[in-house]
Amino acid sequence: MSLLIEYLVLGAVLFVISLFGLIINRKNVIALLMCIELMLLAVNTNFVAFSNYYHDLSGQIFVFFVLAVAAAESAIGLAIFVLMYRSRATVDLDAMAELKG
Amino acid sequence: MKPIHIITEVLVFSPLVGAIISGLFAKKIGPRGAHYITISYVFCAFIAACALVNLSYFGNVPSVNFTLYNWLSTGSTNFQVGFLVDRLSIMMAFIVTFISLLVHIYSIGYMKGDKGYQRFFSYVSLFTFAMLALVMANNCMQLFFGWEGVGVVSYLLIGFWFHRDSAASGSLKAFLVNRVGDFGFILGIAALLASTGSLDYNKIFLHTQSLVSHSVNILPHVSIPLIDLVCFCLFIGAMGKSAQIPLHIWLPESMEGPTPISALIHAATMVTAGIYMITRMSPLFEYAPDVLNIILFIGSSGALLLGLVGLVQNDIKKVVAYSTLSQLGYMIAATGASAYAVGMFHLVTHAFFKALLFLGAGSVIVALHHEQDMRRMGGLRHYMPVTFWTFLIGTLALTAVPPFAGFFSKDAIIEAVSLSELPCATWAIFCLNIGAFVTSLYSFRALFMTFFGETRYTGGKITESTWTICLPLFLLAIGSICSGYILAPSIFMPLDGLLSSVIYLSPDAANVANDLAIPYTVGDGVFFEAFEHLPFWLTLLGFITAYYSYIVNKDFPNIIAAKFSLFYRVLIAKFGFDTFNEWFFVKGLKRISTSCYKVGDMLLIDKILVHGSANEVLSASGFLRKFQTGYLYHYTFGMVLGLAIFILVVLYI
Amino acid sequence: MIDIVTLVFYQFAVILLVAATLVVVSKNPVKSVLSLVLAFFASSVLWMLQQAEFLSLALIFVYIGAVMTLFLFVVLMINADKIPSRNRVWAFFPFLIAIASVFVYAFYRAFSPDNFSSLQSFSSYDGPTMLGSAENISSVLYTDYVIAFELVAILLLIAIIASIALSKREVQAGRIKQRISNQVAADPKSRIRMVKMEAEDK
Repeated sequence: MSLLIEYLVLGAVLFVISLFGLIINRKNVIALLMCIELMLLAVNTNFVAFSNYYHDLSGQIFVFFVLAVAAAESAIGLAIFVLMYRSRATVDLDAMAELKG
Repeated sequence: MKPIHIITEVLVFSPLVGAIISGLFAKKIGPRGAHYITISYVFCAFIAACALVNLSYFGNVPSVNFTLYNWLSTGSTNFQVGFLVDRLSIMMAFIVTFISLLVHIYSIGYMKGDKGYQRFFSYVSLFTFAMLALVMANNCMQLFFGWEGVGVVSYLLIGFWFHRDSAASGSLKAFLVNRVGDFGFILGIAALLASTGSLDYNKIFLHTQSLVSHSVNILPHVSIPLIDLVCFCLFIGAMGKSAQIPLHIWLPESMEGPTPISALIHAATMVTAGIYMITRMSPLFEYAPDVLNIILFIGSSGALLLGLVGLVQNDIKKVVAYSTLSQLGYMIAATGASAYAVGMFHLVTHAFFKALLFLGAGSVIVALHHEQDMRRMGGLRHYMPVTFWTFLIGTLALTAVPPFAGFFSKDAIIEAVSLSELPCATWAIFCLNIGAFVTSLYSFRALFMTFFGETRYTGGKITESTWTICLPLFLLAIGSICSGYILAPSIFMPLDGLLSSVIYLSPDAANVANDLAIPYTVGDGVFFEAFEHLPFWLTLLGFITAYYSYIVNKDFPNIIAAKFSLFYRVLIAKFGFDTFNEWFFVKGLKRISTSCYKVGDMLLIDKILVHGSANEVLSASGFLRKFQTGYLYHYTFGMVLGLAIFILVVLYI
Repeated sequence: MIDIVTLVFYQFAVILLVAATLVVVSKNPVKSVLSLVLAFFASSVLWMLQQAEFLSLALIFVYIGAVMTLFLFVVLMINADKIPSRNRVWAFFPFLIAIASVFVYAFYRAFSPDNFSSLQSFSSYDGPTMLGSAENISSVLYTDYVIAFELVAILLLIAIIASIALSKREVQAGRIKQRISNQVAADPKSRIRMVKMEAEDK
């Protein structure tokens, strides 16, 4: 009983939920970071499920790397967030449009 | 290096040295230095020409063809500076240096006190050099160099008094019209180079047969022999330089230049370069009878029509200018009828009497303080006997009264044309005969209006010109009297003629030449034969008409003008060539270029290409920058959209 | 008859989805972070069911223990009224539905059992330890993936340096220096000031 399909559906639903979150929380940087964590979690769940399904550790190793990169990403993301809050006293993404062409 | 080479180089280059010295060191040498230096160098050239005449005509030295300098080589083609010394070029060189020398001397008196005195002498010497380079050339490239050189100096000298608007525009007109002719000329030279691979006369003439056998398509399905094309292009060049219809319009305007220049360049030498060139190229033209036909037509038409225009001119120089046009028409008609030697003969005699007429007119103009309108002259024979008598001699020579020079050459031209079997010969003989009447009429009209009747000039005392002006008149008068009589027998000698070693004649043309020679081989019979010829009686009729109209009954011209007012207006308008050019070329070009400017430049290039592309980039980037909002969630949005599209693509493809 | 694994799966799957939904919809970021903790916890249980022993523990230790704590710190540092309110959520709704339907359709196509039945599948793993045990993972990680592993280590080092460089307030003379004497001499009283204040109504 590998429950592969169930895991995949779970991952897909999780991904779509976080995608929703990404869009409805589009002004809030910290919510965006959390939604990205959730997306990565959904992907990782798929990796883990397939790893078990094929009895191959590569999937889990990949998850390991994804976790490491995600940790680095959130650390830097939060640092930028703090800087932004410090310099502008807001976390509103609408206020950050310096790249507007 | 043989002596004849050195003589040739002295002949060609000494006027150049004179021109450079008096042109570049004008301040240092002063006016007197300028004329002494240029005259002595031109005198050197004249002596050299005399030496060549002696060697060639009396010493029977064969023609010499040598290369002085290899200017440049491209592939198998060499552009060389070389000289062909034969009887034709020597004859031209003699005429050029002789007239040039006399004009130099004459100019001392004529140009006295002019601000551009040294410049004038420098130009005249430069012209002499260019003309000699033209006639002595042994290849088409150098011929073209001289051709353009005389064109440039002609431009400079017509516009010598450039502060006058009419002189400036006249020089520009001469230059532009000559460009048209030169364009045809260089096309002809290029066609020769392309088809024979050489520019040397001798090598080109070796290829004549291949030129005849090849044909070119000028239009789809219309092909003409290559030689016709080449000869026609060359003739266009001659048309420009020798002022034939319809490129004759520059010559009357060139009268804005100083009168000595009109005599040297626009009567005696430069304008005859076209006749010289056709004669030189006779081995080609002989094989293009269609082109000869065109030449005959254009030449004889010009001889009549432009002479008619001369009837209504009141400016004494303009009358002589139209007379020159008419006489050039005679020469061209002679070459058209394959009578090259006769054309050259008329060239020589014409050089004498037309230079004489111009210099005589110049003498009158100087005496009357630059008054050129004949209606304000009259009765001058009492004040200026030398000028009058020499002018009279010139007029008699021009009107072909025996035994003056013009009689021999002009009568021979009419004879040669009447013996021609070309389709246009009938028209040509009509034109040339009537032309003889017209020539006589306008010549005596000018003579009577200027020298006879009551004195109408009121601008001051009239005195005879100085000796520097009278001396050339004397010498030219001698030439006008004798040159025909001296040259005629040797020119028409059927087998051993003066130019028969140079000119190629087809068998038919050779027969004509033999027929022409008959009267001359039997001694002085030619004088009495004149009375059997129509032209003589027409000339006499012209004289009588002129005498009646301008001496006896002075209202007669006005009555005629009123009666034939349409014809009179056509003549006043010079057959409308200028009007047509003004309307067609100037206005048409202006309209075309204005529309090109508006459509091509303003609309296509400026508005659509330059500003258009800039605006397109601007609007495209303005559209694209809307995607670059700077908002993070818009980028996320795009990412998600892309992901969805990607998934759909993967699923369905 | 549902076996215990399936039962546990469904239970924690529901917890995970609910927690994830709370993360997304909660207006209070503290609640969001705590829900995220819950989601991570539930998924670590789910991963354990799939024999990813090491990873599920690492998720709890590293993610919940470190990263989520960091999130919490940051969230608490910010005034709640600075959190921007959502507006125009419903303007995106048609788009969301369209995207969601694309994804659902894609998953439906991808997850059909036909795609997997033909593949070689192992019904159970019968090694001496779990598949994803620390021993198994490390034996692969330190051999086949050692270069990637070291690269990730360097990446993390870079992330540490970057976050320090970003968040340091004053950079003196271009470098960051630790002053041990100042640290030793630090006195609690000079760092913390106790302020008495009345309770506030939220």
